[in-house]
Amino acid sequence: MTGTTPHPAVTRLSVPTVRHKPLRDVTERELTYIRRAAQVLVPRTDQHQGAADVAEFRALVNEAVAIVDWEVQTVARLSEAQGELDGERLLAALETMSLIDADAFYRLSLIVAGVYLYADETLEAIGYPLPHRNAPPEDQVVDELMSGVLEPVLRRSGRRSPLD
Amino acid sequence: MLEEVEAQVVVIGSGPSGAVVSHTLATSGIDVLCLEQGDWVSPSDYPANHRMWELVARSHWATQPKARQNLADYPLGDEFADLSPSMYSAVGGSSVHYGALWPRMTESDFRVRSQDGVASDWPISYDDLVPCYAEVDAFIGVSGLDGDPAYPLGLAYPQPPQALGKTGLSAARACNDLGWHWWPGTHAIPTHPHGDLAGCQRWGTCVQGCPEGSKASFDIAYWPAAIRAGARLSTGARVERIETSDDDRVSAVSYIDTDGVQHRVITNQVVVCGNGIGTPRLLLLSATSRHPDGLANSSGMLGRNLMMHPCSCVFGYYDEDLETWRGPLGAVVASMEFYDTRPEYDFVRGFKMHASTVPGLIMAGVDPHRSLPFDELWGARFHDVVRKAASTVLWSAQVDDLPDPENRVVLSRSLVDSSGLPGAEVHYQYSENTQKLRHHAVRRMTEAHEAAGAKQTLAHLEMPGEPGHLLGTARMGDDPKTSVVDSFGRAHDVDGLRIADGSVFVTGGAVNPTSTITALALRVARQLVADLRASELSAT
Repeated sequence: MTGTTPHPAVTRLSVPTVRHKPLRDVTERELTYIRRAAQVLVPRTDQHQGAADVAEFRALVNEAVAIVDWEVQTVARLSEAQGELDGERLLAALETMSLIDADAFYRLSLIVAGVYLYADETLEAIGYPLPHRNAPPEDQVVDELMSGVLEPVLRRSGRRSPLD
Repeated sequence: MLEEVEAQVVVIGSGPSGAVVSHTLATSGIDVLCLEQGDWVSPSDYPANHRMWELVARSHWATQPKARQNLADYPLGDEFADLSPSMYSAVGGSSVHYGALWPRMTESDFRVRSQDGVASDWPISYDDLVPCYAEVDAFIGVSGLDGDPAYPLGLAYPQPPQALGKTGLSAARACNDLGWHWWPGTHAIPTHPHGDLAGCQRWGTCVQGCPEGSKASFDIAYWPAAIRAGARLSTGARVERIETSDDDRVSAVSYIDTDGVQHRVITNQVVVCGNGIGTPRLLLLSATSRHPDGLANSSGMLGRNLMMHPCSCVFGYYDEDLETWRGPLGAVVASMEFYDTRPEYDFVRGFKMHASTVPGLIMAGVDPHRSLPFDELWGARFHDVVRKAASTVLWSAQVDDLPDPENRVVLSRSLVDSSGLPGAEVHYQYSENTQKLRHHAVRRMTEAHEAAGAKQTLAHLEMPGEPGHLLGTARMGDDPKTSVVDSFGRAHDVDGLRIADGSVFVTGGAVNPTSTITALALRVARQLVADLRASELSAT
């Protein structure tokens, strides 16, 4: 029989501690590899900066790796195998990897997507907020329901409005 | 060294049903000990406390234990399953990462055989459960709008519904244009402070834990009150077997703690609340020479008839800013238009569909597009994908997958948990009826998006990460030859053994099941209290 192998980040029964730093810092070679992957997966265009261009790239990569690949095993393996590739050759290799080594590609692409999407300048450019308190005005739901939007449902059912 | 304690009643599992049973017993003055293999989750651990919260949600907080691999998780073999189940092992159980959608089952769900000629009727009706539904709703502070015509007259909620917002109004108007039923969503998320819960502040990270403490995950909704009432809760306690005497009575429960030390609780009353996979797993682990096929399994139904509510979804992308980053993540509106059997279709039963906001650009944009060819997401297209995802509405539908004895849970022959106990192996295949339902649901949800003016839709026949609805594997019934427990969760074969979780469902319906699970658990607990009182009286 084989036992489960707990994720290396697991130190508690039900909730692993979420790491803010990976087990070790990402090396320069690994960082270069991730930067090249970022350049082709989320490239710079005429209108938008690319994932490799974000100001806090190094810090965000380390933060993302800490969450997704805490032991840096996947990143280390990929940078070893694909570290000499860039541009179109790397993009083609990543496309192949998405089919035959889907878990590794998922981790790498999640790191790249996270670095890009959670960079301050991207959040500002897209105008998309991080989770935060935004309770509705007290009477919003009453106003919505009093707008008549429920009438067709009530008419078909023969029921009276619960707001009457 | 074996350590022994005593308890009047042992509850196994601290999820929604275990919490309700423990609370009900404790408030009735009964000595109850709940054994939970996981431990407490602190709100400070929730992904929403992290800037890259969507990355956290996809790694350590993944919904499927196989991806998450917490120490409390036991392994699930799913190579013979069309769906990989989701669950969470912690105080509060899978409610730690549920969406807190809180619809009730409908009247027809309890009499599928009579109405549609398939599966079986329940031995109880909707009306039998109404008082229990209402009591749990009142305890939690469920938010919803009274008078939903999909239900009998009189359905009312203790708190007003969540605001529809731009997303809800858009989806509601589309349903109106199509002539479909819709109603504001019902949530186990109070809109205003209630008991131990805060009022919803619409963070939108409900599934990964509410940092406000508003979502009624049962670790915060019920357990504090249960403990105040005197219930004991032991965490890190992995039950390995329920012991029985030669005259088929419960005699003890043995468990292993995190240091590998064995413990034994002497009791003659056990309520199993381990969910539709954990419960049959434990009863199969508890086989004896008198019960060689597992405890309470003379019918052969233990572990069979697994139902999981296959979930399909359609993402819709809109030019109009619908503020789809707002919470709560769940059903802004729900439609029961296609819930019951219709003569014009070549399938029976139906599905509930609901529209939701989609907080997070990875959830709204990146992940849905992974199903498309590589260059539809990666490369220069990525910028378009995530920008259009800023206004995304999700219609999702869970279908009524009818019970099939071949869809079942057995003990794994190859996987063991961190205590060395065999894991579970899930066998589950979609029926032809289920497949037809799924395809029909996707067509209807696409239609809803088109009526609302979506510029693009993206359908997923199988919604990633779903489902966590684990039902039917210890079905209730009046006949011991075809069921495991009676309508009060009492095992036909073993005196003192009860089951109070989703395992006892006869059919699954197509609504999120936790409100029905907790109503049933309350009914089981009330009857247990009555049985114990009667037993005390007869002894004096």
